[in-house]
Amino acid sequence: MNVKQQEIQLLIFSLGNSRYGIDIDQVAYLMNVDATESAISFEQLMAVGSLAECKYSKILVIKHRMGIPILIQEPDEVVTFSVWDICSLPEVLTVSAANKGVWGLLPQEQGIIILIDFYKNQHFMQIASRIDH
Amino acid sequence: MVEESLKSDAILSQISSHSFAEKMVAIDEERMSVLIFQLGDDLFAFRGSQAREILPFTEVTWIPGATALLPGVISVRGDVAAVLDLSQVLGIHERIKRAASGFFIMVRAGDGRNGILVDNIVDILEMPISEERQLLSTLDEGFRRFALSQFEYNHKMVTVLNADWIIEKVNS
Repeated sequence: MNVKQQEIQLLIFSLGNSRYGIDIDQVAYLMNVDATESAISFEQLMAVGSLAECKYSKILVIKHRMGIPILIQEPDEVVTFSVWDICSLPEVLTVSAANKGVWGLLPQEQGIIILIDFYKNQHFMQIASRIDH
Repeated sequence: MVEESLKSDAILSQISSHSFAEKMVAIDEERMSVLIFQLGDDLFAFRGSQAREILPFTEVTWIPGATALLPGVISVRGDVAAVLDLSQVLGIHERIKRAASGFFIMVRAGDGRNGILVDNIVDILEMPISEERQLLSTLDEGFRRFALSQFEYNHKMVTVLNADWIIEKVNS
């Protein structure tokens, strides 16, 4: 990417008490949950632990990795943010959180949005690599 | 695609010049100042040169990859800082009833974006270096590995901790 990025458009959704943001450029498409389609839950990818009250209503399909649909809750919104508002991870969290695909944090009045890059999520990429082979 | 440079990497590289460390203001003093704080029944201190700021308790945001030692992050004036649970680091978490209260001591160690969660701030004082004592042989082994010295304060022993060693521990 040669041109400096000024803004990023994020698909925002919640899981438990946390809010997550996915770069819209990474999203191939979003569809309603289909009982016949097998998919991995976002909760599993993040190793959040079991959220009993979690009801997934959408399937998120990531570009270039369309064989791994991800179950998410109804997205809250799609919002454009300045990239200058994004904070990198504090150093002590870089290894553990980066393995889960957390690449940045976006402090907002309503709380911190956790930015996820699925291509950096080890679990997601391991599944992708198994599918590729 | 994935193997090429990721957009997230490019943005991180772009914003790295705005590091939190640059915003720090030096408050070092020639005399030894200490920040005394309480954790459970024990008193500890950081040297003034290691403590940057005290923040009242605010909601800790859990993030994937967080651990008992590092339960999450807090928002600090447009930036974020990692939260370190000192009771976990020192191995006294079972003795402490953790409530959603306390203070974060922001320390300079590491990248300067770390808040150490403590129960209470007791005092900030300047003291002659001669009042510092070597570690008592009876000092809890869990404290000893992070301790620089001890001193007496209101008839109680205060253990001076080294924030750098604490950050090293959570990084390991």
